[in-house]
Parts: sequence; C-alpha cells; structure tokens
Amino acid sequence: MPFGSFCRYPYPPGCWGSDWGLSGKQVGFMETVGYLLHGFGTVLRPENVFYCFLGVLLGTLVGVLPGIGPTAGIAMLLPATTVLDPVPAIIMLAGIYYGAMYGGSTTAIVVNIPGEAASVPTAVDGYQMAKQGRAGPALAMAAISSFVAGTLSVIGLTFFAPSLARFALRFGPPEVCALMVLALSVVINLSGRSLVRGLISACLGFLVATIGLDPITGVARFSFGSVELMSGIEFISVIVGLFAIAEVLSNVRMAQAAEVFKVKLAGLMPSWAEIRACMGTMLRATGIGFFLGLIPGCTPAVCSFLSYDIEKRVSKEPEKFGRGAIQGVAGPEGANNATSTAGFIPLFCFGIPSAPALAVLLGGLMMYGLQPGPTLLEKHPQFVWAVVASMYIGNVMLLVLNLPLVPLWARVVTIPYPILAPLIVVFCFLGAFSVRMKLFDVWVAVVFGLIGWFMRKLDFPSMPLILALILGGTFEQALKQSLSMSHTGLLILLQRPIAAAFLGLAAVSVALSVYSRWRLRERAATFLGEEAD
Amino acid sequence: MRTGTTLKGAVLLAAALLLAVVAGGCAQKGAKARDYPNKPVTMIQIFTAGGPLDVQSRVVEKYWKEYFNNQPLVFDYKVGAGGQVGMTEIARANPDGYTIGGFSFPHIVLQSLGPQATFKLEDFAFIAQLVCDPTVLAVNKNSTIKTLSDFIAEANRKNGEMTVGIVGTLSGHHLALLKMTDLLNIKVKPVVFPGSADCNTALRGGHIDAQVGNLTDVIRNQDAFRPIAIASEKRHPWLPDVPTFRELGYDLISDVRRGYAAPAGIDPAILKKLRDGITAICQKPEYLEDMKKAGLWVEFMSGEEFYQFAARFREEALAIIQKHGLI
Amino acid sequence: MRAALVGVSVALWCVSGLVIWEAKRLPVIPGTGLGPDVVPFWLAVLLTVFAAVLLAELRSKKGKPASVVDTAELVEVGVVFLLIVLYVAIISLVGYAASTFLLVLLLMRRLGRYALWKCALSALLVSVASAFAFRQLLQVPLPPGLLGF
Repeated sequence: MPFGSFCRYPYPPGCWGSDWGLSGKQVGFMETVGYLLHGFGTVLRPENVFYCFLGVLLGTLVGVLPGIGPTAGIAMLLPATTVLDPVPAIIMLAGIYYGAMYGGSTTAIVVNIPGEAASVPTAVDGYQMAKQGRAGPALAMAAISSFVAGTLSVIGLTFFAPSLARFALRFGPPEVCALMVLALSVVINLSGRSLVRGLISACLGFLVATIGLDPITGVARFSFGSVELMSGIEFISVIVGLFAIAEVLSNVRMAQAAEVFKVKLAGLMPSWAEIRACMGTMLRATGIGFFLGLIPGCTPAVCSFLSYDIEKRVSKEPEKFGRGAIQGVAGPEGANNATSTAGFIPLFCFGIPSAPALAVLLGGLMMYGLQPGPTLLEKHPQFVWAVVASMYIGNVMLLVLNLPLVPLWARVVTIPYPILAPLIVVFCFLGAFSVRMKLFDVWVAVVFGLIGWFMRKLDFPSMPLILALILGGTFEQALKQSLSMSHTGLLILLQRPIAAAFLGLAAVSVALSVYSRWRLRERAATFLGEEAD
Repeated sequence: MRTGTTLKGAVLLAAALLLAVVAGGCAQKGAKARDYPNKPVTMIQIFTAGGPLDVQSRVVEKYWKEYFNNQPLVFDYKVGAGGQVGMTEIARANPDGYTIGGFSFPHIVLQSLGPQATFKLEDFAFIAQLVCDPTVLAVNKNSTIKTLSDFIAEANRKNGEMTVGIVGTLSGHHLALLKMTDLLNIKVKPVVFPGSADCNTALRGGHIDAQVGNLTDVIRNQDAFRPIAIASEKRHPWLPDVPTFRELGYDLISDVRRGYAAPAGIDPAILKKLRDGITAICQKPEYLEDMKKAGLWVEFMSGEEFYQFAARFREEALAIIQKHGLI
Repeated sequence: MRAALVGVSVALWCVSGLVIWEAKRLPVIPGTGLGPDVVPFWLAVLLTVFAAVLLAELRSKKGKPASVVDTAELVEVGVVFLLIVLYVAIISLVGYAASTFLLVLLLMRRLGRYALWKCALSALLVSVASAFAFRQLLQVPLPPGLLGF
C-alpha cells in the first residue's frame, strides 16, 4: 500500500459527533441541527419551494420515460443556471436526480418497462403483482419505500457526510473489483430453476457489455466498423427489448383469446400487514443503498439488485420472489433512492461525481464558480445547507405527488391488452430512440425483444443478463486497474482488507446459494419420490 | 443547314443555361455567406454535459447571439468512445456552416492516428482555440515526495513499481507520461482511468502514487494534491510556486487544448465569419470573467495557427508512438 | 424443447467461436496491462463450457414434454414481430406519425379484432399525441421521413 499512515482516517467519536468542518474543525450535533434549520429557512421561501417542486416533478416524469434519464433531464435544464440564482437552480437540478428514482418504478410495475436500470428488479415482482390486480399496493409501496429510504439517507448525509466521504476514498480499484465479484455472485440466486441457464444468460450479458470501447485501452471491440457500436450497446435498448417487447410477443396468443384479458383491481393501498412486513426491508434497503452508494462504481442499479438478492435470502417465503412478493418491490426501490442520495456526498465533499447525472450537476456548479470541496462549505454555507434542506422537502413532495397518482396509474393495467400492446410498442420505440436519437438503438431493442421471447420460451432467466450487462464494464475496468496497480498480480485483491472482506462475502454468498439450491432439489426429489440427480 | 443551326442553337442554349445555373449557384453561395447564419447553428458536443468543454461552450453560448445575427446556438450531444463518436460526426457533417463542434486537442490528433481511426486531421477546418490546460505532475499531499528530484529518486527506489495515474490510453496524458519517463530516465507503471474524476479519486484515496493530469483537476483538488511540476513554458499564474519541467532541466511541454472546428468542406467566407465571431466573443471582458469563474484558463489561438500546431504535433506524436511500439 | 435447446447450444458455440476469432484480431497496445482480448476470450470459453453442460443436462433427462410452442402460436408471434420490424424499417421513410398510425391500427385490429374505425381513431390519437409530446415538449427529433411528419 502506498502510504501506510495515510490509510487510517480519523473517525468521528460516537455516532452523534459530526464534522462538517472538513478543514479539521469539529462541529457538534446541535450546531449541525442549527445549520440545517438555517437551511430550511432559506428553502422555505416561495421561489425555492417552487423550483424544488418543479425539479422533483420533472425528475419523476423523466424517470417514467425510459430513454430520457436524469442525465438528459439535468442537461436539458442546465441553461437555467444562466438565469437563476445558484440556490433555486441547484435545488431544481438535484430534485431531478433523486426524483427520477421515484418515477422509474411506475412503468416498471404497470407495463413491465423499467424506466432505467435501477428499476429492473422492481419490474420483476412489481409487474407480477400488477397482473394479479395488485398494481396499487405495488406502486404505493414503491413510493413509501422510496420516501423512507430517501429521508433516512438525507439524515445520514446531514450528520455524517464528511466522514463517510473520507471513508469512501478507501475504496480503490481492488475494492471495487471485489464488490463487483460480490454483485456478480448474486447471479446464482437469480437464476431460477436452472443454474446453467442463468450462467449462460450472465455470460451473454457480459459479452454484450464488452461491445464498444475497452475501458482501459480504448480499443473498439466488436464494433465491425460501425460508429454506433463503438459506443456500446445502450442499456435501455436491451431492457426495453427484453422486458417490454418480449412480453408483448409472449402475450400475443393470450391477447387473442376469446375472453378479453382483464385484470380486476384488488385494493389500491397495501394492507397494514404488508407494510409491517416491509419495515425490515426498507431499513435494509436504506443501509445497502446508502453505504454502498458511496463507493464509486456502485450505481443505484447495482444496489437495487443487491437489495433484491438480500430480501430473497432473508425472506421466509423466497419462492414468492418472481411471482409478486411485495418485498421485491420495496427493497430495490428503497435501495435506489438511498444510493442516489448518497451520491451527493462525494459530490459536495470532494467534487467527485459518482454518476453521469451528477457530473452534469457538477458542471452546473462550475458555471456559478462554486468549487465543490472542503472550501465550499466554508465559503458558501448557506448554499450547501439550503440544498440539503431541500432534499427533505423534495422527498415529502415526491411522496405527496406519487401517492395520489397511484389509482390513475393502477388503472392502466385494466386497459384491455389488445389496446395496451400497441401502446407499449410505441412507448418502447420512443424510449429506445430518445437515448441517443438514433434508430440503431431501436433496432437493438427489437433484436433483444426477439431474444427475450426465445429466452422466455426456453426458460432462460433475463435478470442475470441485465445484471452482467450493468456490471461488466465496471468489473473489467476495476480488474485491469487493480492488476496495473499491483506488484503481485491478482493477489492484491486478497492483500487489501476491504477487498478481501468483499471476496469473502462473495464466497459465502455463492456457498449459501449453491447449498440452498441443492437442498431444494433434494426436498423436491424426495417429495416426488424420484431419485435425486 | 437547318439542323446545323438548330444544333448550334441547342448547344448555345445549353451553355447559357449551364452558365446561369453556375452563376446562380455562386450568387446563392455568396448570398448564403452574406446572411449566415439565418437559422440556428448546431454545436456538436463530444463529451457529456458538465465537463470543461461543455461549460466552456455554455459560456460562449451566452454571448453567441449578439455576434451571429441573433440566431441561437443549439447543443447536440453525440458522446461516446472518448470523444471519437462526436468528432467523427463533426467530420462527416454537412459543411454548410450550420453544424460545428467543440473538440479537444490532442485527442483529435491521437485518435486520428489510432488503430481504429474514423477521421483524419484534414477532415476539419479549425475555428479557434479557446482554452489551454497544461499538464501537471501531482502527488497526494500526504506523500513524502516534495520535488521532482524526490520523485525521480522514489521511482528509482521502487524500481518500476511506482504507479502513476493517467486518463485514457493514447491520450495526451499517456503521451506526456511516455515523454516524461524518457526525459527523466525512469520506469513507472501507468494505471489508466477512463475519466479524470476516477483518476482524481484514486489519487485522493492514495491508491496511486502520482498522477499526470490537467491543471483544472489540480486546482479543483488543491486541498488534497501537491503539484510537483508543470509542463508549460512559464510558471502558471494559478500555481506560482510550481516549477516548470523546463526550469528543472527537462524539456517537457504538454497540454490539453479545447476549441471549435467545422467540417473541412465549409465555404471559406462562412468560416471567416465563424472565426471572426468567436474571436470577438473571446475578447469580451464579461466572457473572460465568466471563464475565470468557471475555473477555465483562457488562451486564445486563431484557427489557422491552431491547425498548424496540431499538424506539427501529429509528427511528434507519431514518432513517440512508433518509438514505444504502441501501434 | 429438446430440439430448441440443442439448437441454442450450437448457436452458443458459434457465438463463442466468433467472439474468440474477433478477439484475437484486436490490436494490443503494449504497456497497458491486460489486452482488450482477454475478457471476451475467457467469456467465450466459459460460454462454450456452459453450452456443453446444457447439452449434458438434456442427455440425462428422459423424454422431456413435447413442444414449447405450437405452429399456430409461432405464426401469430411471427406476424406481430414482423409488424414491429416493418414499423421500425419504414419509420425513416414515411415518418414517425404515419408509421405509428399504421402500427397501432394493424396491431389493435390483429390482436383484438375491434371495429376498423375504432382502431383507426385510437391510432390517430396515439400517433398525433405522442408526436406532439415528444417533438414539441421534449425536443426529441423524431424521424420526419419523406412525408415530413
């Protein structure tokens, strides 16, 4: 390790101490609360409240539409920085970022089109719930979980941001690589009935991720001379194809059946029992999303998959996952909101954007001459605390925005399928096209739609493919960087404590998954009276 | 005889028509150049929003209208492949002057030399250079390295295991690192990062020993980085205590420059208009103030000079690349 | 199912072969650590192994239940897929609004057998509303095609 003494960072004493004074000054709990109240004072002016609302509203809309993500949304509104003051402008842009995480779940649940990669696990169980007439509870639970996780994360950000940011710096390429291994090991749990099909699916996803530029050498792989392929295959195209178009193709037969495929809505809100069952889920999701979200490379999508995996493991009824378990909606949705909030910590403390959308936001800060870092808080405390305070208000606004709309969205499921299917196809086109304004992405979506249909027919799970697609690039990059940094080849992953810990967890996760699959097969075999293979 | 006259008449008519068309075309071209621009101009952005090139373009956009017939400047993001997608788009765009693009040097030269190049330097007509970001060698503040001689000593002590972070392979930084290690006669291990944010984070966290990066990154991370030497001709006003490589005895000049270009077939009259307009914007005191606020070091160079500079650099870069066997 | 799975395994072997061949042709830049061909190569190797395991699994199971999809379904799915492909193919020719109109009309008719005028009306509504929303409000340059809308 390069600097022996340097790798031990001072931790705050106890859990109430917080030190927003990154220049070394210790700031106590009451002082932080004081600053926060000051921030509320700034935010609760009509102008700032309006822009906060506008930001979260636009964020929700942007999240609902696949293709136009928060990055594009923030980029579209960046010119606002030339006309507005910094506080309302940044409040609005920040609202777009964490608001997008609320919106992505809507189309995922109602029509099986995840708005972005972070809503993919939500789509799995959420859509099943919608097919069972429980779209209302699913949507409401997504909003509630997002609110709880978002608010708890902002509280964490308020009191612990600097220490967390410094802690996050300890995660270098070897740690990220090990974390990716842990995330990839989740594939085994998501493989459904046949492990080998899940593994094939993951390999394919990984191969698709390699199309484009090699992250380290910049050599274009599998681009066959096409400039579009050189920038890689867009996630959204794959997701839209595998989920939505494949679903439409699979339902063709059923749509033409004599009885119209109708879903009756059974209640619009989750029952108290369901909410109680999700309490633990929401707390776990917040923990996973918030802490892992500090690590570079750990996007909201990664955390939502991890949360889904954890929920499936700790659940007393794991077989319900994939068939409409409400924890399968609450977990990922909470995790992706916690992660998006955690993304602001390295941004404000060090000016390090952990997501492309935050990089755009950073550009906005640059336009105002606001240099993120320790000096930001010293020179512009009003600004920083106003933005932090606005996040509390933003989360409340999002809950208030989304809950009443639940009945409206839920009714989309009752639209007869022959009408819904063409709408879905058009929506898919718009989503895939809006990413880069290229027809190429739409063709990719269509091709993956066909592949998705084949996969469903032949019982190949699609979650491993998507997970590998999301993680592949980061994993390869971290692996190659670790090898560049290391004097001992791959052993560097075991020599660094955090990396070794993640690898250990990955090993445990794989072992547990394999064991539980074996147990399940044994049980099924004895039950059916056959011999186990 | 009649057929003869008819034939002659037909030829004359055809010639007259041809002449009319050509003349009309020229006149139209002249007219096109005269009232350029009469619709919005699209600027192709090759990197995602929020980066230095984007911020610079937004500052220019603020002042664009008053020099360009009150027509807006519209951004079109064509990101990907480290800027190659966007630069290819600029090279292949319609050369009517309504599509221009921002680009980075030396990316534009190095990518045109790479094994999978999709454009050449000759496909562009440079409009101007706006900023210059010299390359800086930096270490973490907690490191024991304080001067360049310390750095060389440490590199020799570690015997080739010293890790130095750079952004991108076959990029300006990569070339600067190769030149530097040649001049300093040391061996180091380059660790490549896809973006400067990742490289800065790694240096902050102490995962790499040193970094070859841009001035803007060092300024942004002044609280955690210690710049050792800067690869410019003179000491930089923003880092007055940092010696240049030249004064320490090593002739290393390296920087990242950002500017605007149009596709090569553009009408020279329109190109002149673009160049004049941008030059005027770059002299406005408000523009200079905004750029300073955004943390971008302004250094203007005209389009022709920039092009010559790039062409000279290409020769030098080719020599280094071939010497190290990179292509 | 058996035939399909065998087909899939063979297809996967072909894909692996293609990946390995293409990977070997990639330029390697010395001095930058692991080349760009390493990860795809090993992925292709893994894929080959897994495809073999898939086939082996098939062997060990006796007489799997019959087909996964009957011809009627195949035809239906094929027609819908063809409609989608045509939709994307002609969109740059006739423009977004016209092709969306045709798609919605034909799909609604085919899937639901509603009255033609109902399909046409809904199709018109959908194409105009979405074209307006995306072109005007969101500034997305939907392909205008030769017809201009």
